[in-house]
Amino acid sequence: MHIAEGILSLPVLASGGALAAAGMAMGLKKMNTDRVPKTGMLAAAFFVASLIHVPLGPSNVHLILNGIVGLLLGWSAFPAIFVALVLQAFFFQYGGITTLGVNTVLMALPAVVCSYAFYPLLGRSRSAAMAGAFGCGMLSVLLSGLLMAGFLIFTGEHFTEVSVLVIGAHVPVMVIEGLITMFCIGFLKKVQPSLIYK
Amino acid sequence: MRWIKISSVTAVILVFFLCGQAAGHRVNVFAWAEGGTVHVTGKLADGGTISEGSVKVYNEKDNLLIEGKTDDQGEFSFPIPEISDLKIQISAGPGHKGEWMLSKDELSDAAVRDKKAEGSSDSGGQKDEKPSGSSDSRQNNNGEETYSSRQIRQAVDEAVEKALDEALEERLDRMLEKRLAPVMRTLSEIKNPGPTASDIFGGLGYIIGLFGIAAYMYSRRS
Repeated sequence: MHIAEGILSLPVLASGGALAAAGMAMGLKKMNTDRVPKTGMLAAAFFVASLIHVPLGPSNVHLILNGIVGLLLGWSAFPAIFVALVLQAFFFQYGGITTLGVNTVLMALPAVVCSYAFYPLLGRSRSAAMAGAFGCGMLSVLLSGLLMAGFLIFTGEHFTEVSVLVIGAHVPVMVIEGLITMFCIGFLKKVQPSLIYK
Repeated sequence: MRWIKISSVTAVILVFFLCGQAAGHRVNVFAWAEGGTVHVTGKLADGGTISEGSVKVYNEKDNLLIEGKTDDQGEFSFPIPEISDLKIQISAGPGHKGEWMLSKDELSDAAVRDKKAEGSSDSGGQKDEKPSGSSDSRQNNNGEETYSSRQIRQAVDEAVEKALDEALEERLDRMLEKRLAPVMRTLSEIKNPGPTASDIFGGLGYIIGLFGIAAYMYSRRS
């Protein structure tokens, strides 16, 4: 779910960049020695996840994994996703250099929001934690889709039209990401609970 | 919990199988003129084709000339609408767009050649007339006998040679274009290969390195 170069206008790009910078500052402030390796690990996972595609319509959609990144990193999702996006832009030509800020906000903001919403569920019973993880994986993709539609309004597209299109295209991804997040959280809860709890 | 694990693993495996042609976000557009038509192909950043992608062709003044959709192979062809710098845009869903500029020179070359090809039958007719015309002039000037038969033969030879040269050039041009079309097509495919293993591992290496540096900085600070 990247926005390519040459679609958004300068003011939108600039405000996206400013939002991303604020998120980055917050993420780096919350960073400490213990969290760095975890952040790197999830940045790597996010970087590679984009290569797993689901063909759909004229283009196709890929895994995003921002739900699990948010759930495990909180605000540090911003630096993790930013670094992964820079490398995706250079190596895979996904998104672009000018749209880095917008794309970071697009994927990291829902991650942070969902981590706040679903993190409390993880400490409860197993089924509640599973439901929370599934919801987090799913909702973060949904929110990303809404944000994308929001950014694309400025190009003269209709919000409802684009959001229906984007979210419709991401329904399979939402379900798959929900399952992956649930599986990962279930697994980590069992073998390495310290990775989940901040 | 067991069914959850099983279902998620199957889902992931399914995705790997489904992925087939991987695709990306930047749309790579490639266009070339062949005869009087312009061929456009659109590819996603990693080689995936764009079927049903909307194609828009603009001229220098940004007027929309032609609109259409790509076929299953991600290709679209249209007759040259006018001789100007054409901007060809392909978009594949929201956020996916790419364009290609086709310069006036490339177009005019192809169009002129095509017009020539159309008129070649006419010029062939002229070629036939020429000798008869010269024979007319010979008849008119019969009394004076200014032209010797050798001179006439030479003139005819020259005219025929010139016409042959032109015809040959045209035919060669057209043949070359025909032969080169697959090369152009392949070129459009080669131009932007998808992420390779070296890209992926290179990226992962960068991430490890960057976060290694970050870990080092943080550990020094604390």
